[in-house]
Amino acid sequence: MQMVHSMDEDKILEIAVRTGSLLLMSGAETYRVEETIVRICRSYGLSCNAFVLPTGIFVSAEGSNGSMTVVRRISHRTVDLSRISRLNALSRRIQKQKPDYRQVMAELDEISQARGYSNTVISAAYALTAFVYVLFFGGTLVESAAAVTVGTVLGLLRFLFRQGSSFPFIEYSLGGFVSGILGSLFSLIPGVNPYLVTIGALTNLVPGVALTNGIRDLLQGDIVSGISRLGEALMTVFAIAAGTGMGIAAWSLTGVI
Amino acid sequence: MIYAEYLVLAFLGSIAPAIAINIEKRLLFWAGLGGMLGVLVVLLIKPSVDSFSISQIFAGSLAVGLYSELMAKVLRAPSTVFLIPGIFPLVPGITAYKTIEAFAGNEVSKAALLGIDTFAKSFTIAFGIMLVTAVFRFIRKKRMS
Repeated sequence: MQMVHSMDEDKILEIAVRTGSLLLMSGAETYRVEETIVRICRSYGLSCNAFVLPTGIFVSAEGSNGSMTVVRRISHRTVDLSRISRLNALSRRIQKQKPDYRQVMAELDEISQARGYSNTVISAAYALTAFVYVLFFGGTLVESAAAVTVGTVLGLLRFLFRQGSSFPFIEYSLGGFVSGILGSLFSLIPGVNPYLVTIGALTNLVPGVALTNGIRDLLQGDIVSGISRLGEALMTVFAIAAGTGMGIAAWSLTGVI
Repeated sequence: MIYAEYLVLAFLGSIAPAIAINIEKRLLFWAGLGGMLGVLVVLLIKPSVDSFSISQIFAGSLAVGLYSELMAKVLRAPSTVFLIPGIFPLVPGITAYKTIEAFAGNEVSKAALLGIDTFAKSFTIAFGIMLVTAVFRFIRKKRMS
């Protein structure tokens, strides 16, 4: 056997599980994570089984000294599409070229630290989404300008929570609450529909990723993952709705409208 | 054409959420195009922008799904990259805001009807995507075996 191909079995497993958990934390579909783990192990000549849930990874491999098992709990998930495609490219490269441990680990470090768009750009994207969708839903320029403010606040809220939110639903209800209150605040300007401003800004929080990933998981036969992701999408919508309702109610308590 | 404005808005309205989920820069334009295509199909079915009907949304999400699966092949990227931004302009925002408006105005029975409408329209998006993905997966499996 060539030197390049031989690697300690625990190191193979480490690479596979690390790539898999980075994928899962970036919002990849369950089957993609499972396939990647198995593919990486097989590339280095290790046969393994992977079972992935949205909240954890279980991998068991048949090593030369008996079977080895790794369980990795995933508590924090974001969505990062460019990270997913870079990890995809890496796993294909591993399959073709079988780079050594240090090389792969260096690349994984690089991918996990890579910064995408700057915070300013992302906040601007939130503001733009709010602006565009108020106009799209038939609002006026004044209303969409108001929504830009709310959208920016939602963008800033996202950075506040990015530090470590293990319970994302709080984040979503708070987003709804803030949008509800701020949207109502803009009703003080004559001719502004507060609900239109609120919904335009809240378009930012639509759980598109959970919805599409849930469907794709279900179709792949990953019933547990599919149902839990669709449940996540539904819970998100309810959290936003409840938050928004409370925001509007809190404003109406002041008796201004 | 007055609907040109809506196509531009749909383009921007797909690009902006795509940035928020950190899409690759090379794919940004194509993600926007997908959202625009969805709205174009919606407007071809029935040229009205007041509040999209279920059939309009269904046709739109089929178009977005088809576009995403094809572009995934052409540009070598996961189809989710085009799918997620593409469905944003189809989200039933108008019905959702009318629901909130009705709830806030204490018209609960009207709000309940509008709520069901919003839910059904969201489900339509999910169903449209599901149909396209299932067909593509079926073809891929057939070709493999």
